[in-house]
Amino acid sequence: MKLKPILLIIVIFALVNQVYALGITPSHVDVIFEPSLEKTIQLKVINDGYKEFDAFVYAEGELAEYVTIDNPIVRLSKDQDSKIISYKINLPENFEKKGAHSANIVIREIPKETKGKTTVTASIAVASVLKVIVPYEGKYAEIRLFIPKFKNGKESNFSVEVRNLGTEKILEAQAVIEIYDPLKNKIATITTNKISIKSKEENLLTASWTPDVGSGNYYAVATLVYDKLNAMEEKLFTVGELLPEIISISVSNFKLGGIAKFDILVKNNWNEELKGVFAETSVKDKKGEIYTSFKTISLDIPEFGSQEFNAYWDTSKVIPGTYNLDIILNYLGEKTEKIFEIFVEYDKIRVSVIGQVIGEQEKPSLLKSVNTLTLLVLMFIVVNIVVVIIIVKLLKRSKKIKKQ
Amino acid sequence: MGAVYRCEGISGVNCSGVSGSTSLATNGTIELRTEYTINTSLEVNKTITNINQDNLKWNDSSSNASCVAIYNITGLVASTDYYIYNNSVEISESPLQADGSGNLALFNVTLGSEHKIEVTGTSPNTAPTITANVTKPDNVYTNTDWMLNLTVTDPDSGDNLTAYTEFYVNSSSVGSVYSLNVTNGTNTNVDNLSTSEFNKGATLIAEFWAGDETENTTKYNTTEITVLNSLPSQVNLSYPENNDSFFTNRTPRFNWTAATDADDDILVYQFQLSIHSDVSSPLIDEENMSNLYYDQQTELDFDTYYWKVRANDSEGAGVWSDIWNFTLTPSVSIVFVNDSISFGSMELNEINDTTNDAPKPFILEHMGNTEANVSIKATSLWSSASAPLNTSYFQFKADNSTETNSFDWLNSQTIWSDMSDIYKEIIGKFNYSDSNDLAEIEIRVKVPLDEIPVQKSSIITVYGIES
Repeated sequence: MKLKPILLIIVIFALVNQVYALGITPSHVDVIFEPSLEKTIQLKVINDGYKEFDAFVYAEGELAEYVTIDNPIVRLSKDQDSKIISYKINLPENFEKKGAHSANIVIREIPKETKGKTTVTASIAVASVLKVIVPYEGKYAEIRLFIPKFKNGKESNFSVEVRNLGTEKILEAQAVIEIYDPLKNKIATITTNKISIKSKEENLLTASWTPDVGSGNYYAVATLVYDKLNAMEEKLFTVGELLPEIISISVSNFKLGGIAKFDILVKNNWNEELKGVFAETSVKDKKGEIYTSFKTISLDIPEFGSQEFNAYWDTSKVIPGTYNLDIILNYLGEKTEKIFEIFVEYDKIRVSVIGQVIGEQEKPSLLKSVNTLTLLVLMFIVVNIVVVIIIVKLLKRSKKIKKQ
Repeated sequence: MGAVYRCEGISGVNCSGVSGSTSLATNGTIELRTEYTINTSLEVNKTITNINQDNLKWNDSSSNASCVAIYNITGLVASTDYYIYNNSVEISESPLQADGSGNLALFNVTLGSEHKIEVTGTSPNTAPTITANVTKPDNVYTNTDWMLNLTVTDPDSGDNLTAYTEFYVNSSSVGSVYSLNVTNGTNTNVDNLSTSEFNKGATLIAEFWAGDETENTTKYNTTEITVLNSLPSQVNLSYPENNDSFFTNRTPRFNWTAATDADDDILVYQFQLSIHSDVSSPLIDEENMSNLYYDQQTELDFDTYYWKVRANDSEGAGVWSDIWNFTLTPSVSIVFVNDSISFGSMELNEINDTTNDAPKPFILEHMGNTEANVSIKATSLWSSASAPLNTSYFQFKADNSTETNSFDWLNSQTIWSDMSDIYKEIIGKFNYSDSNDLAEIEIRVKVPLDEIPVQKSSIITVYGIES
């Protein structure tokens, strides 16, 4: 849906006065409590609809009394996609309750006068949540796990962001990261470095891992152990890329003028079953003229397994020569395309990837069948020669017997 | 003594033996007496080729290789140095100074085969020498000329010195011999080989020599150097902009401008993204990209990110770009495709709603980057006291749009609910992904039986807040 923003812009222009939008970022702001903390916080009001409007800015909720908005009316013009506004917080000496306290900073459009019979007009309000976190008594930490884009055989680092939200310093913090496959089998356990973290501060831990597993989905559980306490976060991640691969194409029992049946073998290198995979094939000549287009049936490919897809081509009006076979594999809403060169002869079709022969190390089945055929022909010739020799010898022997 | 003299002279020179072992050659002013030290019989040949006060030249030979000729010259310019050469080699006593009467001290030469003797009042030419040769830079790349500096020295003051250069690229001469007048003893950039003349991997040699219009030095070669690979230039980053603290795209396209390469090598790029300010432990480390961008595939979490890019040619990487950062912030952004619904003229007790798209419901899109809850409230639609807010005369509900699964159906108000003047939640966990971020707000109105027939309107306010 990468086209959607473009379509939306088109719709926005088409409907000019009808589209209306209002946004806010950050939609939440975390502040760690300090007694009598004074701080100015900036927000960005987003005018995605490029419309002129005025809006009220106000605070509501528990902390509203500690919030001051200098300019409670914000005005955006048609050519402004956003505007920065700010508010001040002036926190009290203390909060009795530990943990999170909040206020909503609301930006609400000032609606314009409406006209018409029985009309309902919409206006928008959005809010940014101010969350003041009062540190917990003693030791308390929260973590966030950041997972890199892992590639097989390449070392990368997990990062664990640790926030000390307790009143005491964490003397030693270390995270243990356990990695599981989709069947919840633990495949690796790694540990980060150790650090200490002062109260109200945050720091990063890292742990390296070199995947030696198949491509696919995995699961990481990070447990931070800090001064005999712990905090945990879990996340899904992937290793490698989900990219089914065409490993061979073969055409058996082909006669020019008949229906060519392409057996397309597709391998799933992912650690989970690929459901509803299908291929769209088209055969073109070198000028790009399409001879045939075909869509295979949808099939599932098991994890790390392969599946054969069949495509057909009526060659009744085809002359021997070189053509391009374009195969688009469709899987999980994604597509991958590969173009092969096919050499059509009277009794066979040879296939190669443009610029390379497919499966050079492991010969494609088409090549295998050609070699098998050659062997059979050779064996047939040898057998015929042997039979002829035997017959000639038998005839000579029978002549000798007759003469005697 | 049985010596036989054969003395020949140029015109105006008398040449004769004057005693048993001495010959005399004179032009009337200058006298060249030669005494031969061998008493045994021998044959001496002398040929005078020049005789004047500035220069005397003669050839002497003896049939006896042990014969020493002692020369006594008078009539020269008084108090003047004379340089004496035996077969063009200056003898060890040279120069000798003529005394106040113009008499030169005796000097001798051992004869044998013919010796060419010269006595001259003019100091001899000395060939220049090249005392220093330097090529610059030490490491040669295709983006810098190769320079040759020479220092030519010549003891003969006043000589015009010339340096000669010829460059060779891959052992083939480039251009013609280049000459440049140089100052004695001064290090001079005598010639440059332009970058246009060589490519990466070429071998370069400069042949050079110098001359003083009389003599040239021998030709020398510089040490052969190989033109090194030039690494790509530093990459300039473009987007996301540096220090953007309100960045909201969770799958951005990172852009940079192309690096340059002096060797015109094909360049690929390496991109790194990290939450560490030094870009260590990168979350993304993508190499060998020919594009000038990297498309983030998975959604980034809300944090501050640091990124950098460098270009690689086939032999190495250029320096990293500056490190840029941006802070990805959560956003809630509600878009109304249509911001009003008109039910037109309605009869008393008539009911209409937007579920049949006549009129169309409100269509909302969530353009933010985090899930949001949406609430709704309204001003009164009807003036009738029997149909205030919070009654079935004015209702709402959430509904699916063309993009299903755009919100949490079970946690949303999907059956008619009475409109209120305080916020009531209508959409829970409004999705923001492009393919599933549209929802509808259906409106239902019923005209009260006692409603006064004038224009009716209500303003609803839709309130979005992070889930």
